[in-house]
Amino acid sequence: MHISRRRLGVYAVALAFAIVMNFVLPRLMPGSPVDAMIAQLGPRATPAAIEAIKARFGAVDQPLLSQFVDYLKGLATLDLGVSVKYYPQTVTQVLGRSEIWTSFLVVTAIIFSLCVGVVLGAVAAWRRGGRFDTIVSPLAVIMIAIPPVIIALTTLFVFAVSLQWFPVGYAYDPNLDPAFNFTFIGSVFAHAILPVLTLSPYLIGEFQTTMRSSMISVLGEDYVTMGRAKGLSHRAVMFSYGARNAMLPVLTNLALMLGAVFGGSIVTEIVFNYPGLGLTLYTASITRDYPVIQGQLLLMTLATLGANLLVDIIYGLVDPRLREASE
Amino acid sequence: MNFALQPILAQKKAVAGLIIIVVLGLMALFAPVIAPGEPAARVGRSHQPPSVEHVMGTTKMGRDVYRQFVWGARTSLAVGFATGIAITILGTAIGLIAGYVGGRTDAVLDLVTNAVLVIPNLPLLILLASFAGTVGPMTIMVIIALTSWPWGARMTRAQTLALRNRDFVTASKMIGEPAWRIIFVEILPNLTPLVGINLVGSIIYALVAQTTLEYLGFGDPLKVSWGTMLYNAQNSSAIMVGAWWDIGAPAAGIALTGLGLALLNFTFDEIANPQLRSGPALTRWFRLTRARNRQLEARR
Amino acid sequence: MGQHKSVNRIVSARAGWAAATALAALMAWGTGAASAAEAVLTMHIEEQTSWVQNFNPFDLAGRRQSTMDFIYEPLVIFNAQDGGKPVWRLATGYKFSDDLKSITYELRPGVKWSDGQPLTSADVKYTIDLMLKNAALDIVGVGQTVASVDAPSPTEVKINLKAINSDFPESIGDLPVVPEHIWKDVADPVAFKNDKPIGSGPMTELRRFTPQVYEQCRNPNYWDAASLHVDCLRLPQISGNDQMLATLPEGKMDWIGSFIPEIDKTFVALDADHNGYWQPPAETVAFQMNFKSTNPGNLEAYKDLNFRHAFSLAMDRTAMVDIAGFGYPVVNLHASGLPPRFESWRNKDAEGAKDEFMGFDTAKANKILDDAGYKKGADGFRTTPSGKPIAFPVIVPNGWTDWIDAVQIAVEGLRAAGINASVATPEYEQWQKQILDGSFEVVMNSRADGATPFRGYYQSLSTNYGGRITSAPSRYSDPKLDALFDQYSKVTSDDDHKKIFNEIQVMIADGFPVVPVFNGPTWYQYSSKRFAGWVTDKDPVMNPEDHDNNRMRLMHLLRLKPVQ
Repeated sequence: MHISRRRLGVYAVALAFAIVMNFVLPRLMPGSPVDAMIAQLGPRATPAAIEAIKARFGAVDQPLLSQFVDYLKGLATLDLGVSVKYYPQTVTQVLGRSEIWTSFLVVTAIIFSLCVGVVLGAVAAWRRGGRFDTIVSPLAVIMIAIPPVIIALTTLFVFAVSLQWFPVGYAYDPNLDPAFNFTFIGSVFAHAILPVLTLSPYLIGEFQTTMRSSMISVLGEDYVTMGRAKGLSHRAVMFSYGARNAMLPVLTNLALMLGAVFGGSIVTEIVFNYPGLGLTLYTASITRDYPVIQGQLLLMTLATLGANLLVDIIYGLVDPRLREASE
Repeated sequence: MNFALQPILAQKKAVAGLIIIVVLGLMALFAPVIAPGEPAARVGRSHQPPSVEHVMGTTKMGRDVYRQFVWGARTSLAVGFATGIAITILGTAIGLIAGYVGGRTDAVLDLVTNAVLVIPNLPLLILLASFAGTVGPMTIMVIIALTSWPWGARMTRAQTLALRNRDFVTASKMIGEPAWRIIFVEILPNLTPLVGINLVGSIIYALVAQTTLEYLGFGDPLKVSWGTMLYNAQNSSAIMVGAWWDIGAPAAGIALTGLGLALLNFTFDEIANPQLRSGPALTRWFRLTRARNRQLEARR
Repeated sequence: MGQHKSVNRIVSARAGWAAATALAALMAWGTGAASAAEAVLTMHIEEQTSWVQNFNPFDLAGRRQSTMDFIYEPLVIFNAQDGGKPVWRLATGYKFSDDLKSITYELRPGVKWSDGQPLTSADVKYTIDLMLKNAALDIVGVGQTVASVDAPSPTEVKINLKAINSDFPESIGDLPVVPEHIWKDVADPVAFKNDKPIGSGPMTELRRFTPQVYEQCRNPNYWDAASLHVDCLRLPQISGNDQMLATLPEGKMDWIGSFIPEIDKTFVALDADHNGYWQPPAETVAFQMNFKSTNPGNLEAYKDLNFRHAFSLAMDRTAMVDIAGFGYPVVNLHASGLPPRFESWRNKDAEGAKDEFMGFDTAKANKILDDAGYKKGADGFRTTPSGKPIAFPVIVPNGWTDWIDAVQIAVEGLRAAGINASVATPEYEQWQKQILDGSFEVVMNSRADGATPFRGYYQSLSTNYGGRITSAPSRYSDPKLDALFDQYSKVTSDDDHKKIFNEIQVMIADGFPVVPVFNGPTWYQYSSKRFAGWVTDKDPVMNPEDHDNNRMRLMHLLRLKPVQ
């Protein structure tokens, strides 16, 4: 296993960037958590209570440097501060309870789209210029271009509200308690179907397009032509030679797209009232729960970095040529 | 230009895409002519279905949806295109410089590019937007442009690296042409298709991001655009009360623009991506397949 | 309950998509097992994206909105719908001392906390002392009014006031009494989540708490158990209007406090036999100008009664109600701005001729401004009589779409009268900040009414409150009005209160400090499928809302009986 020093450098810079930005932004922008906290109290807040909140949470007059050190210390101990909206809960608690649902949604959507997209892309490349290709390939690009908002609203109203085939919200039937049995797991899946279907078009489009172009270039390699010449069956050449090697760029793409998937999941979760990170981020942004918004960005950046790192490792294992070529 | 236009016009998909975009663009441009009047004016009763008087019905506030749709196209397309152009210029410039200059400059730029690339975009946008408060089209543009250039930069850099050592570049260097001239006069024209792909892709991205931000309520609710139309329609529960036209019009506008751009981009990609039209092996392969297909068809 | 649910589930899964049907049937099987005899009331009070187990009554922002009343019973509730008459709960009466400098509450004997411990005067004293000690907990403002508290006997609490204040009992109407034996061990009561509350109300036992739903059940030691026929409250998490609209067809909600657009179509029509609503007008919404504005032209205009009259005449109140508000609010055509719910307080002398500027009449507005010397410039906008420009944004929180629409209608009217007004939509938190720090120009805002109209007027228009709370943006200051407010709080009899308030109404109608436009609705919808006893417009005995600002919701709950 070997990851180039350069890649590690990239991750370090990205992480540092996210960390520093999280520190700098709140100090540059007009909004402040204390104002948000007072706003939370609503019109019934007494003058005394407003003053008390200001005194308790306002005006940090330490020098910037020591604030930054404190902030870093907090990060190291996973202490991301206290949520404004869900005070006295900490950001870690708030994110913790929604993180699992987003992971579930995103991973399911990725696996589903990967299967569909890769097969469609491979077949389209194999029959390049054929009828299948001419219809399916532009479709993929179109799917990327339609905002998830529109897909989410359409599926919600068609399948959940009008036809009532699927539930209109929640991660599972609220009457159930989480348990490892068929009822609960079935409920979780039933509630995930529409959100996953909403997230998928974009992913399928991306995977399919990447797979197609990568497959086309792989098919041009001599060893594929060789395989064909040796008289191997159609399918054998397509999958054992072509698809397997064409998968690598798809994987890289996948890691980079994780950020976009998180973006899509925000809208999806809002529309389907799905209790994941996206819904949390949305609520946080409406109530100006700055600590939660910042923690969220950090978490999502970490996830994307992790995925990229993982892909780099897989790359190193799968394709020795790249290991050498990378530097 | 010739290089880019001719093969595009030969493609049916591209022509269709181009027509859609041109029509929408003309509609936006001539909004005062084809939909005269203030788009925010109340002209009828609440949520009236499409009729002769209001061809796309009215919104909850009694505003003419058609008028809003036409005028909204102005903001949405202007922001989309302007942002797309900004993203492309940024990305291309950074990619070119990194690829051509190389060395430490490249190392630094490449590092930054890759770093920005792994930071999730929409959450970052939301973070920036919520700290900035209500954001008008201009702010949305700046925020999107500043966070979305790395894709283009990366592609451009890779291509520039490949071109850097070609004969014509070396020759220009030998006769002592200045670097900027080599970059912009010698190398850039060779990247035209790539810039095109980048541009169209960026416009699509900007449109999606803008719509999403406005839908989430980060836009200026007083500015008429497709995104704020969606937001307002959503907030008056348009679909739930059966006013499908209120949400359908902006949704169709966005989807149409996406469709047109996607068709264009697909063609761009197909004709210009060197990877896709690579090597003789592939040509041979295709000749084989095509022959086989013809045989199959003949047998049927 | 269980049966209803399974029927719904299977019906909802019609259209025969095999897997979905199978799953839905399975789910129904899973839920059908819940005990059938219980009377579980499903209600919606607040919009949240996830339930957090916080029942700290002092945490206004974070507490679950079912904390007050249902867990912490009030001492006494004043029923605004009944002329502000007291409904005695934990207290059975109170008496001012002769010098009006102290008040003694008589507590109901034999009341127990939900853990079986007796509730005594020591708990009340402890609670108020806790708030005095810790201003962040002071949600009713005792820091301003109370000097000290004594507990002369287990059923008597004597509160010594800082100043004579006959409005005091109403001012502590939102006071939660907490058990001393639990709270004395709480290290930081501000950050305390009180996730296993011990309370005095009817619904103290948390049977189930998940991020998606929680159930609050019968207090085993409730003192008024004889009146309580509901066994559990069930509160599913709902994140917004659309979620609510999408959930309604399932027919599972009993008591709703939601904004439902086109309610006859989207709610009543779903089950016309059972679904109903009553949305009586509530607080007055008014345009308020900043009388401490730093813009000299604007300030000159605001301070001119003619300008405020013209402002009022430019308001298309009907459009605000019908178009912006879906027809739910009610136009307010009184210069005094008196909310319809306080009909019994109305002073006829403050009406009639005094309401002549409350219509929508752009021509008259223009004429008043012309006559008063507001000349139009080249751009079509007026300047002040002394020639200074007038230009102001009206602020309204981003996301409050019906209010934004109303403000847009107002601005259209103002511009037609040659006044250069615009709309600005800062974020709620910025909006509130601008009100509190006085940097705004004009705002459309409502005020928080109490059980009598006095509180709403006093807290929004007295010099004392100006700019200190969000419902007092205008910073209006009139010594004569302040004197009347002061006089009001120094008398105790209802007749005296009425007399003084009559004068207050006349003063406000004449001085016209704010421009009333409409009264927002209360949000109340119900289904009589599972419970009977709902308050309706035919039986308008109380504010029917289930929201946290309505203490009478406790009495509403005690009216309900399961349908057999």
